Amino acid sequence: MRISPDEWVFWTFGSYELSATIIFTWLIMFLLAVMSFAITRRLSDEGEISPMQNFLEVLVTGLSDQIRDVSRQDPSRYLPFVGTLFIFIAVSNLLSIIPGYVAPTGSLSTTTALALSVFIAVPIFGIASRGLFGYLKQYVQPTPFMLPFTVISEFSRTVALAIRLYGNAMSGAMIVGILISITPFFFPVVMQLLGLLTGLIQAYIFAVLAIVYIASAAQEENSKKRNDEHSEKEI
Amino acid sequence: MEINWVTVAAQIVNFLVLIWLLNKFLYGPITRAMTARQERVRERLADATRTQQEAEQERLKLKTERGDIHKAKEDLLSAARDEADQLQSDLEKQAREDVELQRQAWLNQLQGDKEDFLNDVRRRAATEFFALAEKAFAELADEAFEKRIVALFIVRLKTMDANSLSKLKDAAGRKESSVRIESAFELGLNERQAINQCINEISDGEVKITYANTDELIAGIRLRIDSQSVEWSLNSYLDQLQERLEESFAGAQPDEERQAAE
Repeated sequence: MRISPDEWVFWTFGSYELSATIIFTWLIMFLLAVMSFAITRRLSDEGEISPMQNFLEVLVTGLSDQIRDVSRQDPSRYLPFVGTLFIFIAVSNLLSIIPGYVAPTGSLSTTTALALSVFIAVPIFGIASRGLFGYLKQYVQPTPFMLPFTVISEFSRTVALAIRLYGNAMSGAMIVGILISITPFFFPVVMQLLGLLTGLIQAYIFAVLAIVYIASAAQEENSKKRNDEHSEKEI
Repeated sequence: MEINWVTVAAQIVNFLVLIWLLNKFLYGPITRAMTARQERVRERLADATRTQQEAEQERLKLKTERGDIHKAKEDLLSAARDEADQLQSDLEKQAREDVELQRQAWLNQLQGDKEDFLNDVRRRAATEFFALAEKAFAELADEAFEKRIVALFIVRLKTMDANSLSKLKDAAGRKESSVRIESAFELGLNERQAINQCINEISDGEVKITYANTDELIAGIRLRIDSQSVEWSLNSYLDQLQERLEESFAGAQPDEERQAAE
């Protein structure tokens, strides 16, 4: 039984191994791209719209509203990044209902890659919004003595992001594997359903934390404190 | 639990590619479609608002026009009512005048008819009476009747008024003046002497007296002095009969006028 997709190697080229993590990630990317293209190829902007277009509009509108509620900023600039985080993680976790599929998010490499993406995106959005000096100034506020702690916070929350998602995704697969060996008929199904819910929640948590971090770095000084309190309260 | 950094790098690249793909095939088209639809809805709302405003303006305009039309109608009705009242008043006045004219014409006609009738009655009565009287007097006329007439004439002479008496006395004083006695029948000698004697007595002198017969008098005698005259005849009684007949018709006239008015 494979708990991590990294252990499932399809092809080896020298020291590099093409694992199921990459394969299933490509599969997810392919599915999302093809389905999006197929649906958005014939969009209707008046009259009746197709159910799938309606679903995508609900999805995009929901993501935009969520980003706006959390960041109190225009969601259009954050939507591609945060929305893709949510959709990728959610689809990756939801597809685990398919036999033989192993979620890429169960790989610590994948969650680390996503956490590093957030880690990199935070200063990029912050500098783009406030300028380099304005972004760096927040590390020495309210006092320069806070600088080490702020830097540690940046790294630790990135690690926490990666470990949280990896732990939840991996533990779901592990629990199912253990239960199958003990009670092979009823409980694995229940745990699989619970895993679907957990996977969706993890996708939401990861995306919301990402937008909280990004918005915190990008927003203006006068509303920073208020929004920090608001965001932490929501989380 | 280990991290393969090559896989991490590959997943970062994969994630960035996925961002690009979804941005191209999902977020962009969906956002544009929703924006276009929102814009269209906004335009339709603006059109609807503009149409509603135009409808409201049109409604106010029509309301104003309807008020004007109603006012004009009221004015026309009022003018027509006044004109009708005036016309009715004029027609009533005209009708009253016509009726009054007709009534007056009818009354005039009636008055003419009455007068014609009275004249006719008087003429017939007089004619018949005269015929009867003449017949009766002709049958009764004898010396006694004529003596009675002469006696009554003499009484009338003796009771004549002062003016006539004064003129009679003046005539007696003048030689050229004469008294003319006209009678409906031939006076006998005795009657003439009685009359002469009476005139001479009341005139205190000799008066020249001439006698003549006349058809104007009916069974009567008349004394003429210049423009004065004293007589006794049936003419006066016939005149009285005529007056009484006229009075009788005059008394009946108000009833006729009332009936004519009705």
